[in-house]
Amino acid sequence: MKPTFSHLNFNGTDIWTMSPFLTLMVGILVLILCAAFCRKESFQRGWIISFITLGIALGTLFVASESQNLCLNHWLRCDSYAHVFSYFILCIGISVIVLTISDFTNEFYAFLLAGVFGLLLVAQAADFLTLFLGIETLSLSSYILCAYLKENRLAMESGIKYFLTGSVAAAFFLYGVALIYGATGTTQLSALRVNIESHSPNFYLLWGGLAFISVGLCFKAAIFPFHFYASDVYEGASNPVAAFITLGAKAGAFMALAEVFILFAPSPHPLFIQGIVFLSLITLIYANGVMIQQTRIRRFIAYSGISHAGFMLILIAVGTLEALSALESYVIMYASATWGVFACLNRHINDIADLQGLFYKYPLRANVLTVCLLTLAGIPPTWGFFAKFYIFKVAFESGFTLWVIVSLLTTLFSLFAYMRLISMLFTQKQKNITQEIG
Amino acid sequence: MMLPLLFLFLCPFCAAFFSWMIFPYLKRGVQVSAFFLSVLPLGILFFPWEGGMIGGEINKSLFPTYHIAFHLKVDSLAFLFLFLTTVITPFVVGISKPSSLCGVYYGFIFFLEGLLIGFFTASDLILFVVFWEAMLFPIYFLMIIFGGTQGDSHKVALRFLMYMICGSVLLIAAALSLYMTSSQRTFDVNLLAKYAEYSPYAIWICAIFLLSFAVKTPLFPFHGWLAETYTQASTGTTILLSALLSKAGVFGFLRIAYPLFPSLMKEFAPVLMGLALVGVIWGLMNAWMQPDFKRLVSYLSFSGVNFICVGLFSENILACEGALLQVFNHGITLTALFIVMGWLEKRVGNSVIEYYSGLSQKLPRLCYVTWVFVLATVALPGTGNFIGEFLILCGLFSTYKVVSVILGGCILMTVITLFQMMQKLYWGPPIPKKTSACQRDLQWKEMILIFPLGIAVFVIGLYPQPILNVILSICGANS
Repeated sequence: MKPTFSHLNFNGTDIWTMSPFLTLMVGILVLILCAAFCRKESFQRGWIISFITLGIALGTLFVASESQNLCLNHWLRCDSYAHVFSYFILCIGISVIVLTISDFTNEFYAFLLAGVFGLLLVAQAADFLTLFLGIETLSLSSYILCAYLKENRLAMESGIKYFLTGSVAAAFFLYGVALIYGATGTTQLSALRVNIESHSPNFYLLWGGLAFISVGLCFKAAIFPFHFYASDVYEGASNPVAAFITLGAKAGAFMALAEVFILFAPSPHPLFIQGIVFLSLITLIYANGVMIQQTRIRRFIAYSGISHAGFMLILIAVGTLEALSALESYVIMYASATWGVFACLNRHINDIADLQGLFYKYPLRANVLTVCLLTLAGIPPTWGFFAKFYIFKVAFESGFTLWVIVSLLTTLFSLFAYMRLISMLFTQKQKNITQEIG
Repeated sequence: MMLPLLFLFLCPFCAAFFSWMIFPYLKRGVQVSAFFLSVLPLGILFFPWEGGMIGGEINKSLFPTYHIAFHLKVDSLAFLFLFLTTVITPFVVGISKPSSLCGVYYGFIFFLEGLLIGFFTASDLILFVVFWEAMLFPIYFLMIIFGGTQGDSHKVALRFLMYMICGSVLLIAAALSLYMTSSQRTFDVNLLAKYAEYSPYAIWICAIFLLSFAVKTPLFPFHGWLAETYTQASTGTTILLSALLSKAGVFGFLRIAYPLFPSLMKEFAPVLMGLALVGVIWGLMNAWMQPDFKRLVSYLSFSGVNFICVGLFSENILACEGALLQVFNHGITLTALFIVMGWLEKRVGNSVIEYYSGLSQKLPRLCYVTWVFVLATVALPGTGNFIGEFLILCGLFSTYKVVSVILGGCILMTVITLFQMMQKLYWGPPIPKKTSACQRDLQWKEMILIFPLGIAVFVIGLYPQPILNVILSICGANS
């Protein structure tokens, strides 16, 4: 049913439904106005405004109820998954802002909030077009954030690179949406399954479209053949921006993948499943192998992120609701551990060698970093192990035995890489320098 | 029934937390308070609880969606290993005090103790795997922060860790495969025992488990990590590795491999026993050739563990009893040997055998204390090792005559190896220049510390019945 103008009568419920978005909008506007009119250094307190905005948005999310208005319903979902995703997104936003409390200007925070706005759209999207809008809003603000440190050449390179590859990804995504529209006559996520059953659409059109969409999202999630930008982008971006891209873009991409392929898409074609499993395996093998060789800490995090993305991708192939809950627990684990890693870094730490002897200088920071790295490596008493174990269990139950075995074997490489980093933290500085040269 | 076990499990973790958080602020008395904390679990184990410690059980669903239960249970087998763990830990705490970061050091020791207690009582397969893998990391951190005196302990620690993880990386897949086989969808070890053998991949699953146990024990061809790790680690860490972690491997065979795959183990037994036998000889030959006394004792420990495994895989009740007794004896004598060798290393500054001679004149007390434990290691009648090795040989003789003869010869080789070392280090003409450099003899504090170990050796040797009763009940339950 097409929304007509008679539905434009918004009532209180509808406002509540939109309130997180509206709050963010207001926050962004305030920040931009501040940036325009308060040029003085003393007014550069954007992080306070962003904090307040995100806090209010989080609060309104508690009271947001499902709207019956078709005009809204058509574009935004308010189901429990959307709710959980939205909380997660706002928490990511807050945690990234915690990392930025230093000398960033107001417009920086405006772009950051715009990114969070995009993610929120992804979380609640009920239509391919809203999904696309969300991803694009997120991407555009990320491009700018990447290139934000103008005096840094690496930052410019990072921004340009991210922009170019991101545009290709967006094109793929949009093309996929168009194909699906051609096949099923709808861009609505919830109508997808029904329309496929009733219309019996062209196989190539439908699965071609879904494949294009998954390629577009794999770009964002940095899955193996589409990962090439990630390490350069991370290296060039400043610390909080890298954190935002790692947490936000990855979470956004996986949320979108989960929405399309777990919640709404028809039961996947065997060929599609094979393709996803293949991508997942090749990503795991490649990223874990390359991670060992990294010497720059942000590149290391980038490859770690790629390998984790490969790990999560299998859940898209499994495609059950249990897989979705495994995905949620894994994403939250990954996001919190990676956030912890970023929180322990600063702009003076670029090489892995810079971490040498951190334990003897800043014990607390080194301990937090160690725990986070152990979590990322999936070492037993940490949450990382259980999140990984859940994925293994889900995958094993769906019959991906070979995948389980191969990915267990690749954890050996990743473990080696993480432990090498940890061992660096505990190496005392003075005695080892001469040895390494000799 | 639940509470004592919960206390026992939580006590080391609380102690670890305490030493991480509080010890850095203590000006003095760190080691004494750590020692008291380390004795606590032993006290809990032997406190006359109503209903006794054996039979205690905790069973709570931990992650319902994963079907993981927090299921701990103490049976006689677990009790023996718990006893060993709680006895050895105070010695480790007592003998070692790092120059800095004491709290971190003791914290990791307690943490490891807690994980071991969890491991020895775990009745849920995933819990078992979690503790199994987790116990590597305290050791890893102990090695890289408080590593030995000889340089690249980081590399050795990483190699140790990778070796271990390579052995056990597929445990998750094996556990999941068992989980899928069981119709009840459970990880409970006792329930899985009914299904495990009927799994279509039983042989692979069993092999995965055996591999990971064999690497940690270590059984013969999987000992590549051993010598380097034992020598690079500090004395305390080495004791933890040789007295406790290697026993965790043995425990794995007893807790998982035998109950879950009884008939497969019967098929594998000759191969495993052959490997263990080769390990005994290989270890002794290596020990014989070592110019370094710490490495010598490391290889001796390796050979001793393989001796235990020979008894274990012989499928003979008497030999199994001997092996279980030997688990305990090996723990005690090797702890003592590593302690005295550590003291000697601290006094003379290195661990090269040929470097010194005639130390008995300078360090008489250390010399005689060392003799006690050397004699215990070579199974002098009257020491615990004699009973253990005798039982193993007796049991073997009925079925594997050749093996028991070879093992008898191996005991002789142990004698030669150790006596030769003692001869070179302590007797012979003293080299005045070098011996004058070494510091003073054992102090009363150190004598008191080592005293209980000496007593334990002889008590088990002269009156082994109490501990044999526990072992008999294990064998009765498992056969």
